[in-house]
Parts: sequence; structure tokens; C-alpha cells
Amino acid sequence: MKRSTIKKRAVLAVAFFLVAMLFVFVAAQKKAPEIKEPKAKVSIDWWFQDWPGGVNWQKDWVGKFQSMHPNINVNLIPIPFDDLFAKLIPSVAQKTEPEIMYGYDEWVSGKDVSKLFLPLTPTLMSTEEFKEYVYEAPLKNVTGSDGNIYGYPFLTGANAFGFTYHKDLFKQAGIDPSKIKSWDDLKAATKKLAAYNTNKSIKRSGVLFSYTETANAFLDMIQMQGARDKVFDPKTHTWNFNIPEAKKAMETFKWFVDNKVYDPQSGDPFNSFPNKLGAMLLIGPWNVGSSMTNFPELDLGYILMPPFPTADTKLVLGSVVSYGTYFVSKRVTGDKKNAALIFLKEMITNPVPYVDIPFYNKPPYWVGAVCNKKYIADLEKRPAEKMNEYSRTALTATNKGLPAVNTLETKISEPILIRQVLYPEIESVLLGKKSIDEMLKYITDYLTNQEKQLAE
Amino acid sequence: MLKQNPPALRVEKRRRPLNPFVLVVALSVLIYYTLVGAWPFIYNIWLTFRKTDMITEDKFIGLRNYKYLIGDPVFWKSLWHNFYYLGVMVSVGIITSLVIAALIYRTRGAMRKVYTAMFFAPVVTSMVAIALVWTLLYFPKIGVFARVLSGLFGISTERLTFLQSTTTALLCIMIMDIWRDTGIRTVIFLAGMDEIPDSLYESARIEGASNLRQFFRITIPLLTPQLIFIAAIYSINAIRVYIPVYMMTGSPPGGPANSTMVLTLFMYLSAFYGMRFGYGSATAMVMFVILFGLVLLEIKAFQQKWEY
Repeated sequence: MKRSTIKKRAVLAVAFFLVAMLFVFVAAQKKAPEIKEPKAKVSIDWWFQDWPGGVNWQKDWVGKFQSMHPNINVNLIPIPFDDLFAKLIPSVAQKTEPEIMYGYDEWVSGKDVSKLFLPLTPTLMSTEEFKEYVYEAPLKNVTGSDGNIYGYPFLTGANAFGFTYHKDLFKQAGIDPSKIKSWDDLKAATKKLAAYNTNKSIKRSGVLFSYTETANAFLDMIQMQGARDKVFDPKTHTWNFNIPEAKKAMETFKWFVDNKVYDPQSGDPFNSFPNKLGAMLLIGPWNVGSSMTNFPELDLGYILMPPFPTADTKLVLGSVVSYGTYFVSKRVTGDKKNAALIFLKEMITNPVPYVDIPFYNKPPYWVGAVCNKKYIADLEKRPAEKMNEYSRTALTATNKGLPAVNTLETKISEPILIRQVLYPEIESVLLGKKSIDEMLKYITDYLTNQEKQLAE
Repeated sequence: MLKQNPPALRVEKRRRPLNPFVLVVALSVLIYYTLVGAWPFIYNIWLTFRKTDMITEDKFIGLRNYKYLIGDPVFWKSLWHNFYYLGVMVSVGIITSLVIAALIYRTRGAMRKVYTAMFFAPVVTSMVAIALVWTLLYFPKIGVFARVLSGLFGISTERLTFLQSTTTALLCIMIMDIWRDTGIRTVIFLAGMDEIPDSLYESARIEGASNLRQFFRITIPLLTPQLIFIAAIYSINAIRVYIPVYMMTGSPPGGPANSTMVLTLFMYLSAFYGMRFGYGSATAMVMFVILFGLVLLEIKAFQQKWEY
């Protein structure tokens, strides 16, 4: 055989071998690693937030999961929100965390999640495959410095997405909720909904403002006026609320107090609203299901927050957004690890039809913007007669709410920023203890100090 | 003849063998206090010099946590609230308990025991349960207290916002706390009153002293040890107060508008909400210094000899 022919064949063989290797390599990347089903019975613990109805829904799902995977026993441990928040990260530090944890992604905001939890990619599936199931925006806080994803965000937490309202009070006042398109419409509606005692004091507020959502909405309103870059500079770690947009946002809340439509001393809104001491409540959509579980006699509806200040302004939500997220312990090994991963995989690829599980039985327990694309696609295909108000709200909250999310890149934890700084100061203004200018100066200085301390 | 001093008696100390049981018990107590007392204290001091969230970040920052604390207005607000709590708890608590003890002291027989039990019942009730019940009683404008005060004194319910008002929220919590512990203070005072000899009162009566004069000139001076004890204990409790504030101010705790924020809550929120364990530890150190000072004052007061 001629040397040239041998040479040509050798080159072709090498080229073919390289292409084959490349094909195998690429295929291996795309193919999800197989997770072995445990052969013997295994039990895994799952910390879950204890909220009305949520636990029942999760128990129902656990039952279904265990029937699909009989060797895996999931021990659901409900923990109240504040306790769950206080113990999640410390338990990881103490190496006492359970196999699966439910939390909120902003609890790990600014932290290196690769030091906290087990990576779901490429352990469970590739990052690209993961993103085919989950919207990109919720993955921000759970993506590690290595590009892998360390948590599965499922749905939004408590954010100022809109207003829960009493349908009967709206009917009495002759208000069509679908006609509330702007904050001016909202103000007009709340004026009609407010009720007064003989001495002209407020008997029923037209609207109530819950604490986290008010602070969230305050930041969202500033963003909606196009002042995102003015209010916070992540490069210099400075906040600046001494801007007209912030003042206008505060004046909006104060309007409700000054016009005797909102009584800031009417008590805890989570007690006042179900007792009809307020006709509407600024809250995340989750409250609909929660209230109806605790108070099944209530007939509640939900409307999305209108853009601010006019109907033409782009809707912005979630300056500080939180997504209910599932994490897996990085200490777990062997069959327990496989069991935990199988559990997560089922949740991701076969998303829990949470608005369906209770739909056939009782009022639904949770409504929010859903982060799972597959589930939303399934909802969109569903015939209208199989959709209830809650599944419709979930669709609206996702399709309109999720694209509107524009999180601020602050290092300050949400509980401190929202609950301990912004809301108490907003409350000071609403209670008449501080002027708006004093409050804006205070939060500018305080938050900038905190931000710089955390950035050091 | 010179008398010689007798030789000094030499007493030989017999060395007892060390009882192993005693050694084991003493060692276990020492180990226990090292683990739950000394070690956490030393570790806390170490944390005050660090910026850490316990897992993803841990670095030495010197005295900066203390510097941040000094510049934090919420810290100073919390400190002021704690001293305000101390002032009201100690003064009002002592006066109310003293008056109740004096009244119970004048009763005899079974009724004395009944009254004592009545006042002591809240002491043995869970603080959490009491806080939850009082939160309901304090419901603004339409709660039980609002209706009673409005009905009795004609106060407008609009003003009766209790825990929702920045002016009255902390005071409402203190009233609950004072009420809860009235029983134990009363019992301590009663025990002290029982120790006072009747002859003193008789002599005073013969001299023509009124009941009130006897109370101020005999009872109170002779109750000085009990007064000091109660003042010291409740001062320490006022600095450490946490459960009533946390339970009664809901979410966010320390409200409304941080008007009930106290040091323990501030420390807890900084560490577990803000994930700033160094900062929380620095707050704990400040609390330790204040409490240590109070304890030293108490020891000094107890060491004094009171003569009448």
C-alpha cells in the first residue's frame, strides 16, 4: 500500500476517533446522571415552613411521592417561619441540618451557596437542563461562584405583588376590581371601602398595609419611577433615599393615613384583615390561600399591584424578592443522598400541582408566582373549566409578576433591610413620629453604613 | 527560777486520702461550667473581633464591631429602653408588691393563704402564655382593656392603642411584666415582714405611732435586705428582658417603629436575622459589662451592715 494512502487512512481514523470522543463527551454532558433508587428502606428528614394549609399540601405530595418510591420515607417536619429562618444556616454550620431543607433564596443572598448546600447541577442534571425547567431570574441567589445551581426555587414568597380583598365588601361598595389599573384607581376604591364611626374615626380601613410588603412596595415604587440607579449603587455600596422618587413613594402611603382610609394603629393586619377591619390587604398572593384556610367563610379575591404612578409606567416588583427554595444537605451520602435527589428531581420534572391537590378537596392553600416552566406550560394548556381562581392567579402572578422582578443587589439581608430598618421607619412616618424627609435621611445613612460594613 | 515557756504544741495535720467520689463530682461540675459557661464566654469574646456568618465568611476585623455598635442608633435606642425598663420595673414593682404584702400581712388565717396564692399564680404560669393573652387584652380600640378603660373613665377608644402606639407599647409590656412577678416579690416581702418582731410594733403603738408611720419607720427599714435583693434581681432581669417583648410585639419584633427594641432582641436579630454573629456577640459583651456592674453593686450593697 502506498505510503500516502496509509497516511490518509491514519488521519481519517484519528479524525473519526476524535469526533466519536467528542460525541460521547457531549452526550455525556447532556444526559442527566442516573440516580439509583435505594434498594433498602431509607428515611430522610425535610424541614418545611409551617404555614396554614402548606403543610397539608406538602403531606399530600409526600404521600404521592412515597407511593411512587416505596423505599423512600420522607419525614416532613413543619417549622414556623421565624424559627426556620433562625436555624437554617446555623444548622448547616453545626452540621445538624436535615437532608432536605425548605427556605427562601434571599436568606442566602450574598453568600457563597457552594459552601452551604449540595449542588443540584450537575449532580441531578446539567445546568442547561435545569434552566429548561426553571425560570432564570429566581436562580440568581442559588447559583454558586462555580456556575452550578444549589437550590430549586419553586415559588415566590411574601412579596408585594398585589392586594387580597373581601369580595363582599367590594360588591357592597359597587367596585369592580378589574377596573383598578392605577394607584389613583386604588385610592378612589379605598375611599369608597373605608367605613367610619359616628365620631368619624375609622371603623374599617379601606386598605391595610402589612409590614414586609409595605417596605417591599416602597422600594418597588421607587424603581417604577425609573430611580433604580439613583436609590442604590452596588459598586460604591451606597443608598440614597433623598430623591424625589422616594419622597413620592412615601407620600403615597401617607396619603392613605392623611385621608383617613388607613388606620396604622388598627393592629396586626393579619388579624385585622380576616376580621374585616380592612377591606384590602397589600400582600403576596399566598395570603389568599392562607386566609381561606384559616377563615374558610371568607370570600377573597386578589388583584395584582398596579404600576406606579400611572398606567403607562412599567410594572416592577420584587426589589427584594424571595423564592421558596428547596435545598439538599451537602453532608448527605449514599442511599439518603440518592433519596433526597430523587425527591428533588420529582419536584422539578414532575412539578407538584399544588393548586390542584387541594382543588378537588378544599380551598387551596398557596398561590404565588411559580418558578417551574413545565408547570406553567401545563397550566396554560389546561381547559378553562379545570382552572379555578387560584390557578388563574398563579398564572397571572407568574406571567406578569415574574418578568417584572428586578432585584436590588444589596448585601443586607432581607429581614434586616425590610423588617428591621425600612418598615419601622415607614411606620414612624405613618404614625406621625417622623417627617418623610427625616425618615429618608435616616434610612439613607443607616443602610449605607450597614452596606459598607458588610462589604468590608 | 525562770519559767520557761512550754514547748509549743505541734499538731500534726493528718493527710486524709482524697475521696474519689468527691473528686469525680468536683471535676464534673468544673467540666460542666467550663463547657456551658467559660467556653461560650471566651468564644463570644473571640467572635466580637470577627466578621462572620459562621460558614461562608470568617475574618478578623479587630474592634470594628464595637465601633459599629457605638455608631448604631438602634443600639442606643435599645440600651435606653432597657434602662427605662429597669427604672419602671424596679420602682413600680417594689412599691406595688410592698403595698400588697402590707395588706396581706394584716390578714390572718386561711384568707392570707388564699390572697398569697392568688398573687402567686401568674408567677408559675408560662410567660409565653401570659404574653399571648395580654396581647389579646391589649388589642387596640376594641380589646378588653380598651373597652373597660373607655367605659370606666370615658377615654376615647381612638387613644387606646396600647401595643400599637410607640408611646405606650413598652409601658404596656412593663405593666404585664410587673403584674406577673408581683406574687414572688410579695412573698419575699411577706417573709421579711414575718421576721420583724411584734414588740417593735407594740412599742411604736404605745408611743402613739400611726399605722402609716410604723410602716415607714419600722417595716421598710427592716425590709432593707429584701429591698436590695429584689432591686438587684429585677435590675438584672430588666437588662435581660426578651420573651415579653418578642411575644407581644409580633412581626417585626421590637415594634412599632423599634419603640420596644431591647438589647437582647437587638443582639438576636443582628446575629440570626442579619447573620452578623460578630456584631451580635459585641452586643452580648456590652450586656455582660452592664450586668457585671449591677452584680458588683448588689454584692457591695449586701456587704453593708444595716443598723437601726
